[in-house]
Amino acid sequence: MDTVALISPLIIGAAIVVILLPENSLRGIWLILTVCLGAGIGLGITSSAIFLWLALIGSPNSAYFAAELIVACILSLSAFYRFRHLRSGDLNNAALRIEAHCASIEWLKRMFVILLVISMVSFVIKAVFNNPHGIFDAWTGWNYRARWMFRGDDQWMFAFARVSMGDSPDYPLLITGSIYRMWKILGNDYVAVPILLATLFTFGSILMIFFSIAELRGKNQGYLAAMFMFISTQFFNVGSYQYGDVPLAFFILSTIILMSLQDHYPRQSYRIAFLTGLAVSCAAWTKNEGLLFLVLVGLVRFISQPGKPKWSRLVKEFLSFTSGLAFVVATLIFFKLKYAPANDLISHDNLEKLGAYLFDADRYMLVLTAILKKIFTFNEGIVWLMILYLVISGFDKSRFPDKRILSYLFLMFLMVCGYFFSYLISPHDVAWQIGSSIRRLVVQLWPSWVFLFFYCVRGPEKSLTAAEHR
Amino acid sequence: MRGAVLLIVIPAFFVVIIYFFSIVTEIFIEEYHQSAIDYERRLAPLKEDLPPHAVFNYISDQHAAEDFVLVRYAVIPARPVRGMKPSQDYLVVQYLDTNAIPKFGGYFLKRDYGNGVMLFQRNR
Repeated sequence: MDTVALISPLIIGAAIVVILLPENSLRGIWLILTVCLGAGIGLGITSSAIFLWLALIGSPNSAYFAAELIVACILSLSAFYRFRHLRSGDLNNAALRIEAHCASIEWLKRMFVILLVISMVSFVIKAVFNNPHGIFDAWTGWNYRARWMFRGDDQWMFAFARVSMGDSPDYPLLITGSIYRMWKILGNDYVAVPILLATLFTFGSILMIFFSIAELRGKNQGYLAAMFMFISTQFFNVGSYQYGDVPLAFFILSTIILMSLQDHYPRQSYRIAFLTGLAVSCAAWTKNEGLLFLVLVGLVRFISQPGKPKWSRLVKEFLSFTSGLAFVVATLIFFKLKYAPANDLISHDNLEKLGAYLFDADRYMLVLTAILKKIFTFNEGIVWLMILYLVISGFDKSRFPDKRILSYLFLMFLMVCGYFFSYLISPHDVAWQIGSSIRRLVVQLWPSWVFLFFYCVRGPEKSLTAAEHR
Repeated sequence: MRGAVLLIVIPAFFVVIIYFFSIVTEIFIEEYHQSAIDYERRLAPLKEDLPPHAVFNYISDQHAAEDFVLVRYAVIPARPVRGMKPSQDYLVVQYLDTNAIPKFGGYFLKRDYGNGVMLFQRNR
C-alpha cells in the first residue's frame, strides 16, 4: 500500500526524464537512471507542491491528489508521445547510444547481485526492527515535523517551532513533505513510509553509482564501484536512521553524475542541464547543506569554466539549468521567508561573535584536525583501501585531459571548505557539534567521492576480460 | 589488475556477510531496539485520554536527553511543557525507576496506566 503512494512521484519524475532523454531513458541500464532519479526528483516536485497547497490553500484534499494525478497523466502521455515519435534514425544513431564497452565479467555481475540482495535484506531488517522511527534527528526534525503536519490540523505550523537546542525547524522539507504527502494519501502515519523513503535513497545512490560508472567507464568498473559502496556500512547505518543526509547524498551524487553526462554527451547538454537543475534544487530542498551545494554548483559549472567558454552555449545551458531548478527553489524561498525560523548560524548573537571565531587559531586547529581525522578513520579507515586500490591500479590518464573532472573534485573540496567554515562559526560548543555531526557530513559527500574515484582510476575492463577468455 | 579487483570484491563479500549477521544478532538474539518503540507503546493509551492539542506539564525520572524529545514526538498534536511551570490543566508523569505514586499539590491522579505513566488533572 505504501508503494502506491510513491507511484505518482515516480511517474512524474520518470516522465520528465523520458521527455528530456527519449533516445535512451527506457533502454538497458538507463532504466536505472530513469527510475532512481525519476523517483528522487518526483518526490522533490510533489513535496514542494503539497507544501504549497497546505500553506496557500489548506489541508490537501481529493482535489490536490486529483491535480497531482492529472499532472502525472499529462507528463506520461507526453513522454509516450516523445518516445513514439522518435525517428528510427534517432534510436540507431542516438548520441546517447549505449556503447558496448566490453562484455561484463559474469562472476563479478553475480557477486554484485547477491551482495545487493543481502545488503537490502540487512538494511530492511535494521530499519524495521531496530529503528522503525529512525533515531534522534528523525524524532526532533524529519519525522517530527511530518507528524505535526499530518496530525496538527490547523496547528500544523508548530512543526517549525524551535523548542530545544537540538531542533532544526528551518531545515527544508523534501523528506518531511514527502512523508506527510504519503501519510495523507494512506490516511495513517505508518512508520513504513519513512522506512520506504530511506531504502529508496540509500539503494538509489548505489544503483546510480553503478549506472553512471557502467555508462561512462564500463559495466565491470560499475560493479566494482557499487561493491565498494557495500563496504561502506556507515552509509547504510545513517540511511537507516532516517536522517536527511543520505537523501542529500543521493541528490549531490545525481547532480555530479548529470554534469558528467552533460560533458560526455554534449549534444544533449541543454536537456541534461534541465535535469541537473532539478537535481540540485532537490538537494537544496532536502537540507541546508544542499543550499551551499547549489551555490557552489553554479559557481563551478558556470563561472569558473576551464579554458575559453562559448558564451552563447553557456547562456543557453544556464537558462536550461535555471528552468530546471525554478519551481523547487521558488518553493524553498517561500518556505524560508514565510515559515522557517532563522538558522542559528546567522542569528544576531552569533554574527556579533563572528570576528572572535574567525581570529581564533585554536578553533581552526580543532576543526581541521577533526575533519582530517574523520576522513581517514571514516568507516574503519575505508579511505586507505581506496589509496591501496589506487596504488595497484593507477589513474586512467585518458580521463585527465578533461578538466571538467578536476572541476568536480574542486567542487567536492569547496563543499568540505563550506563544512569547515560552518563549524568555525558554530554558536554551539564546537567539539560537541563536530562529534555529533561530522560522520553525517562525510556521508553526504561519500557516494560522490566514490563515483569520482572510480571514474578516474583504471578499471578491470581490458586486463580481466582478456584473462577470463584465456 | 586482478589483484586490484579482488582488493574490493573480497572485503565487500565479507563485510556484507558480517554486517548481515551482526544485525541479525543485535535484533533477534540481543533483542536491541531504539527506545522510540517503547515510548510509542507506553504513551499510546495516554493520547486517548488527552484532549486534542492539549498542553500539559511533564515530569520524569529519566535523565537522558532523548526522554523529553521522545515524549514530544509520541504525543503530537498534544504539547508537553518540561517541568511544572507554567502550570497547565494536565500533568503527565513518567516514573520508570520510581515505584511510589507521587502527589502534586492542586492535582489529582486521573489515571495510572500501570507502566510508569500517570495522568494528573488540576483540581477544579
